[in-house]
Amino acid sequence: MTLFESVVLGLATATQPINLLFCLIGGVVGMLVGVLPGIGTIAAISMLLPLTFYLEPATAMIMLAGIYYGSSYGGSTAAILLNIPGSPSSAVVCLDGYPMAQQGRAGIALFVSTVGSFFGGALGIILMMLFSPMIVQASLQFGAPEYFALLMLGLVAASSISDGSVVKSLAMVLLGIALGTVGLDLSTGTNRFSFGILELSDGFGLVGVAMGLFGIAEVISSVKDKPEALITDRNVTMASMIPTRQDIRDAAPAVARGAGVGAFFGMLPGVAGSVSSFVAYAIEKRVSRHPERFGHGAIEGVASPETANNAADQTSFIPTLTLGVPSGPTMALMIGALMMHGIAPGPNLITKEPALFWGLVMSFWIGNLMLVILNIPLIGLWVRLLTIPYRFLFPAIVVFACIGAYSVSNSTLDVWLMLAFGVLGYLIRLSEMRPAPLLLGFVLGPLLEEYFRRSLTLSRGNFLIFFERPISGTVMAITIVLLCWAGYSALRRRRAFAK
Amino acid sequence: MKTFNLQDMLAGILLLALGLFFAVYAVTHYPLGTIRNMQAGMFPVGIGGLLALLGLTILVGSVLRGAALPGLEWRALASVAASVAIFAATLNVLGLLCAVALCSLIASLANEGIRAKEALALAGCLAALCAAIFHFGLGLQIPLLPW
Repeated sequence: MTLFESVVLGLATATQPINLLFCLIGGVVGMLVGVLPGIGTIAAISMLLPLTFYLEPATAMIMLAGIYYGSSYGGSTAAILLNIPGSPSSAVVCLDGYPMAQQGRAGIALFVSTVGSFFGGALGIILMMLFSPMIVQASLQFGAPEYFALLMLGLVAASSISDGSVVKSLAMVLLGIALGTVGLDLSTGTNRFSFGILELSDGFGLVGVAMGLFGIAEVISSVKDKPEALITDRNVTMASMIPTRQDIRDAAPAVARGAGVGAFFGMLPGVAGSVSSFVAYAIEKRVSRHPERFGHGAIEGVASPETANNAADQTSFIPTLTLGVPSGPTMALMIGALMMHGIAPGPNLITKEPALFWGLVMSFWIGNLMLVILNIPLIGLWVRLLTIPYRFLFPAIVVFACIGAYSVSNSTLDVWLMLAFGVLGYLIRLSEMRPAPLLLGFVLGPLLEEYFRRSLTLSRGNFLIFFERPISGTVMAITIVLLCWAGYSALRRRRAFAK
Repeated sequence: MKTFNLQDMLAGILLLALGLFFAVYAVTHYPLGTIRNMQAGMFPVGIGGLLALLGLTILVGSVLRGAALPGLEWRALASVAASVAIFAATLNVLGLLCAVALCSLIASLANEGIRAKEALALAGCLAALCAAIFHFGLGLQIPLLPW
């Protein structure tokens, strides 16, 4: 199929009324989730996953994706108006967005961040359209060892990049993999770790695990420290949003740079969304002629990170959908969602389900457009919502999580499991570890084991197969380099700390 | 004076325990097979072993650094956990409306700032809202009331 034919197929799928509707719903829910601190995209996606069982796979993915990129649009609103990052990738926008709001330029900040987000998203989608078929072509040479190596790279990258102790994150990945072994082992027919509980034969339900680790645990940790928010500027009118010519001159190159940074980092397996916005901000500060302006309302400090995180949102779908290698925990959840709908992620996805893939890609265009148009009018609504004290919101989150967990298979066992994982998630946070690598390991663990087994059967027990084959050898080498680099910088930090 | 890093200790103990559990249980209950032909137990043993090893590393390392454990928020943990447990326990017995209301009420206890009237009102609203969205709107198969 040529690109043109793919686009037409995608548009035909994406413009079906039900897909349009759920694209809108996903986007708005995403914005809401992005605006409200205390509930993240992972919790929201896992909460809505059970609802998608009644939908076609394409519709389900369109909605879930909408939540994902919608939250980047929403997070900036809270960051600019309240200095509260609604989502982690918006944290850096607080640095210059909030000062801009304090200077009365909230409208301009919001406008620039919305428009920048759209440009970032657009670039990401274009890259997706161009590169995906190419990557799929290249991956035809991939066998079990290559996939194993890629998954290893993704898991190691997720542990070593981003903040926190590498050892702890790696341990989280391992724990996730271990938890993923619970249930029926398809290759041998052995029921592992199920202790006679029949429902556990399918393993822990993804929804319960995700909601427990990210929803319940988050609520437990954050109940205490939610300050009553003070809004700087209640009257954000439409007129106040029009930027001056100087603003546009400053912001435009920042948008371009941010888009490039975001698009690149989004594609890397294992790199979380917030990394792109942080790097974009750092780059802006570096290349600026007046770096001292940053932190006091520099418009580039808003434009670039916002563009970057939306670009990254879109390109993070590329490795996820073309290779089945998620670029982050949320993408791992998307893979989980696909598997729950009976679709195996991997290079065959584009060829076996072209309508799903291209429909999804086209829905990104539609969704981004919808959100751009809606973001500005909805700001008033978000502002009002943010004035609701957290003590009213979190019981609602708990209730919705409970119902969500139950609705997966109409079983209270899933609710109990969510509780268990919620407590585990809280303990994890308490010991300064992060749950995201755990989720990655949990979703990818079964796949990892499968590829590992197959590779070793192929090589008749020779571990070197991963290094002898050129592609997997390269990927494994990169993984090892990454591990060493992470270990080295961790040691340096420890030494500096000890001094 | 050597102080213990409590967070790392907690992490180390948790990981060591879980890793050992997976590895030991797998070794004793499932066939390992050979590397060439891996059976059910091999992978969990390997992963569990690695996990225990990392846990041990962290535990040992925790002796070197000093930091205070952030206060364990008993109230939040207990109330939220209890609210989820109550929901799971009462859903089929008392129906959706009661389960939601109870869940919300008990969860509200986590925050000291909430007043009894507000909590009750919230519980009532949520119960109604959930009935509307999930039972009538989405057709979820949960009985609303005990009878």
